[in-house]
Amino acid sequence: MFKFLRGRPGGMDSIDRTVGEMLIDCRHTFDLAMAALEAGEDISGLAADVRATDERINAAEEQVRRQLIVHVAVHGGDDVGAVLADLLVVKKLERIGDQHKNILDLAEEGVRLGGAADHEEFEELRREVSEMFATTAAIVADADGDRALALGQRAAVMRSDLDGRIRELIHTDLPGSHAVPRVLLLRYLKRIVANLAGVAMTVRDGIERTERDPSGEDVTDD
Amino acid sequence: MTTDVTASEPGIPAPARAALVVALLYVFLVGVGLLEDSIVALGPDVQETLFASVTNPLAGLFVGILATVLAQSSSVTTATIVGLVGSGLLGVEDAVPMIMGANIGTTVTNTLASLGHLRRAKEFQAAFAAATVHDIFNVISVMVLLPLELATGVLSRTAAALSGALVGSSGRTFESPIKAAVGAPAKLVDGVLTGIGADGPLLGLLLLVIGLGLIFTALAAITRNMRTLVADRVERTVNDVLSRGGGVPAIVAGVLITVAVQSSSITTSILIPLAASGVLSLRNTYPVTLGANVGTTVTALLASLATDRPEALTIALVHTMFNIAGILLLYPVPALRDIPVNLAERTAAAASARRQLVAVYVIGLFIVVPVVGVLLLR
Repeated sequence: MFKFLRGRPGGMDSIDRTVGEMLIDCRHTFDLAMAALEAGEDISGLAADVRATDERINAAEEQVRRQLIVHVAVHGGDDVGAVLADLLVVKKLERIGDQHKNILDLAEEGVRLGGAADHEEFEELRREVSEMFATTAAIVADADGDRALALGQRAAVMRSDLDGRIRELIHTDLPGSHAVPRVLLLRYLKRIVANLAGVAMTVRDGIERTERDPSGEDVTDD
Repeated sequence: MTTDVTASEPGIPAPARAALVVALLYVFLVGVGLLEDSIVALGPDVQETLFASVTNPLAGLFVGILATVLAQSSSVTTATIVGLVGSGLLGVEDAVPMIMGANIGTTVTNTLASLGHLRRAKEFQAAFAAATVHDIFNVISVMVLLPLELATGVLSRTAAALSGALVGSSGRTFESPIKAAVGAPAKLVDGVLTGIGADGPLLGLLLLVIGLGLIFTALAAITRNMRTLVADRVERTVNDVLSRGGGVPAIVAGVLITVAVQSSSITTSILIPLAASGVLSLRNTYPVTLGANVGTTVTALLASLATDRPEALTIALVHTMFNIAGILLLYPVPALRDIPVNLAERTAAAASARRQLVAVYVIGLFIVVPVVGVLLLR
């Protein structure tokens, strides 16, 4: 009862915290899903963890949606920009979780990158994308528009690079069993990067330009 | 998410707004004091004409409904009733049905709020059920407790005993420090009006208009400022209700939110979009509205501070006890608890299927029945 009188942060601050937690969960599922591509035969433990964490991400998205409805009911339309931005952000995070399950599906189909010639390239991508989750969480926590812009620019370069790799694989002479899983994986990574950049850029631009990269081009990969 | 493109205006700092609310509360109490003075100045003939009709309890009930529908605030009605009782003109027995009527009248606001969802059938059905569960609960409470009160005086006698223990017996006056504090501006207004030649019923009428104006304006401003001041806490409390479900915590939340914003209409109207969007179920909305019923009685209790007659506190306590008794009567036993919920669901389903029933329901319950009742029973 006395909690009512205490000055705990409420409303949108609580939603910001939930978004931060969702980003931590997203990074966790990304690392696990990518690890599954390196693991041995039995990945059931990893798979169970990815799916349980993804359910938590989905539940958090629903919770944020409810909280935003409450916020609008109490405050009216004062924060309509922030409310719509939050709705978009949690939807993007939920989509990221889905991409991680897609990566896990590849692993469950038997795709493994360990020992392959391009293993180091994928390992470098994994490290960079994983780090982007932490950077995005910090950007959200600090509402740091400058870092958001930097991340958006970096993401645009990465997406362009990933597009190049996908094109190369489409025209490769290597067998489909080599090229197809890699094309799919690169496509998933590209979507993850696009959505993460969208989350970060929302901090800077609200919902106005969040579907565009810093150069102004439409981002259609999320 | 905090974006750097949506920074809101800083507005009035919270401590300044809190001080403003205290000042507005003082203005509100001055208004109640002026109301008392106005009744005395009106003289016995006008008093008799004004209040003879409400000696019929059903007429009093309908007057309470109509006054609250017109003012769109049970707080204004109950504060006025407390002022009238404090002036000695209106007896506690006559005021009890009016207070109960105010409880029914106040439910019109969230019913009107639910009409905003009229175009989308599913949303409207949920919103209308959330609104009408409040109406139906209050009507059932009155149907049970008004006859019981008329037959036994259980509410008014218990309230009188309680106020007797707190400030002294009925028929006497007590030294209210609040009354003394609000006396000076009331006397100033009285002096200015007398100075310009107002006297007798004219003076009473002017004091009545100013008193009601101050009560209405101050309460509206208090509600607006308190809503801003405690919006985050209200939001947090509603989120707590959502995470915990209904029951007693939801009733407590309804009390706290309503005491904080000084308006049951705001509390219950906040629930409507939540119900419409499916975020809050009808069974979880219901206890919050019951808490709002209790929370709104704090205004009458505050108003009673501006008077020096124990009867004013008695009628304010009747308001609180009536709402608590309604909860104790209908909420603890599941079979009884479900009656308003089931009736609200059926009403909403019928209204959603045939929209013209909505107009019949709103105009009938809140305007036609009370107007016809007053005309027939006066």
